[in-house]
Amino acid sequence: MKKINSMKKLGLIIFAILFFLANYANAANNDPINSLTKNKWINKSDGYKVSVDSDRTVERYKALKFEDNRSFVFDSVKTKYTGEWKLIGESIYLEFHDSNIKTKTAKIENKKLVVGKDSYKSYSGAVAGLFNFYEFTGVPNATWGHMIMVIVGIFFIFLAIRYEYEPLLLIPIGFGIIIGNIPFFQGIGFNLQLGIYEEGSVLNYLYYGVRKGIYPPLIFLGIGAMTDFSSLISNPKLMILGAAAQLGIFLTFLGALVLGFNPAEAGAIGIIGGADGPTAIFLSSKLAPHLIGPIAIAAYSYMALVPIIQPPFMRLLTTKKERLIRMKPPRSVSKLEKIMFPIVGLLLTAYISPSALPLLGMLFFGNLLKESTVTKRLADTARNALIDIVTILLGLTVGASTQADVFLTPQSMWIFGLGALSFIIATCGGLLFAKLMNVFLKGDNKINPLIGAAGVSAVPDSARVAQIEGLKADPTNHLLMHAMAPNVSGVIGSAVAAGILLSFLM
Amino acid sequence: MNLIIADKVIDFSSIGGSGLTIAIVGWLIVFAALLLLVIIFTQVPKLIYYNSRKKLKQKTKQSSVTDDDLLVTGDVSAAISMALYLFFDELHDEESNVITIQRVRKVYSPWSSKIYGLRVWPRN
Repeated sequence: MKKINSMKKLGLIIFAILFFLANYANAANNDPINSLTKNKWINKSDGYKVSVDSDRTVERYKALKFEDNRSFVFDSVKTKYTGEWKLIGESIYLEFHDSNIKTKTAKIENKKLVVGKDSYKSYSGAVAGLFNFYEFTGVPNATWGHMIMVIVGIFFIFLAIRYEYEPLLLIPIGFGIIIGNIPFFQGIGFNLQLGIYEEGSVLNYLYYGVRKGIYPPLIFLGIGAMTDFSSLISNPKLMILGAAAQLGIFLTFLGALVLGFNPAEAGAIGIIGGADGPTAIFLSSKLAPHLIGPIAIAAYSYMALVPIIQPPFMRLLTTKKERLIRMKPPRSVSKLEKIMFPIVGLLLTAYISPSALPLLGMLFFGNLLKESTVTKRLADTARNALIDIVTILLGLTVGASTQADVFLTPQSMWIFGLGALSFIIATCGGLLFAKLMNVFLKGDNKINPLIGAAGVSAVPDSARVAQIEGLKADPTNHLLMHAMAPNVSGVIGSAVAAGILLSFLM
Repeated sequence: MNLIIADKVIDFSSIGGSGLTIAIVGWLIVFAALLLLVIIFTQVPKLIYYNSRKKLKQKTKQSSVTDDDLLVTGDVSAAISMALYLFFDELHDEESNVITIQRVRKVYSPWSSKIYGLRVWPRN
């Protein structure tokens, strides 16, 4: 009881202090000059755009401080304008040093300073400082969009930790989404150098690697250094499945055109169907830089959701008998073949699609580092330290690029819809083509059509899904090694497709 | 024909012309690139193993040598690797299995003498 009483007393004291301060701040003085110069005049009005790219408007404080020496400082969206003031009769004339701003007339009416349509209240310097601090906090700048995106970020982190869906990507992206959606003070002509879209900020520098397509080739270098192409070399016909699954890219491209996206944007959206995050970022950075955020998020989130998206279509398009097909074990591949593959592969694919050279060049270079066996240190760096560093930077900045006011647009929602569709088409394309190949193949050369779904290049998740679905049908039938062939050829196929789209649409 | 879904005009005519051409030609190029790789890498083993095939043919006096005669499957090579690994991992020196206890004689040295150890207080 005593505690409650003492709390009440404390509350009363704080209230009294605040009441006194407020009255003190608002205290009117009969002398007009004294009342004008004593305190700061604060106005809060709506209609301020947060950035050139966004239509969102917010409320902002404006402050006027009159000095005794007849100068004044006008603070609007944290930009200071200075000038001279004159009191003639009851009117105060504000002449700005900036010749572009017209002279304004102000009047004190009912303890308020009226300048044009705006009325300013008088507050002490300390209270004005509190307003300034409040304006810089996240609270007044938060929108529902920020809240939604933070929830999305937390959901990504939940998926990564609880279900281990691509944790290496979803944790940096999820946390990046939270970082990117911490609201802060924004205004046209004012740069706090905080946000990812603000020139000079740390996040902006890191995002440069995404905008200019620097990170994707580095990721490909690491992928090349960790990929074993031997399953593909031992059974080269499975490579065709990787090409078949690229159907998703081109049908989604058509879908995006139908929805009114321009051809370059449609190409960037279509590449989501390649199920390859770095390729999607690389292409969208060239064709539609303004769509990098939604495209990258769609590509990576659907890649993580491959274990959910693919199985229903795999079961729908295959019969039980087909799922039971046992494939001939892959032959062992000689070192010479493994060394030849990156060199011949690069020469062939890059000659056909030179626009994909940054991706294909790095992929095959990384693979040669691995397969040559004489550059173990370089291969180790590429597949461990380098790819880890780039993944952190890429994931975090792609996540942070989903700043609500830029990201939450109807366009993004359409991109997400098309992305899901492209994954489904790619899965179905691979499955159906495997069935078609079986028409022409005989005996133990037949293909289990489940591995066709691995033609989408989400490495190694889609191959893992094929293995799991295969095991469900027959617990002794391991398809992983076979599925890795269309899976890695899907990586090559989607990079080639990106190069083709780039050369058609750029 | 136009459809309107969620205020979005869906214009099917926009896929005509260049859109459709890009899609079809693009997909065919991807297909062609990977098909070329398929063709090359189905022929490469034939070239690489040409000599081995020839030697095996002469050795076994068979009219033709199939891939199965020549190539080892991945699981067989994995089993061989595992067997070799286990063999070399467990390899150690041959021992006589006779356990003997030898008396160790040490030459006296004040450096290792118990008398001059630090546990003895020097003033005593």
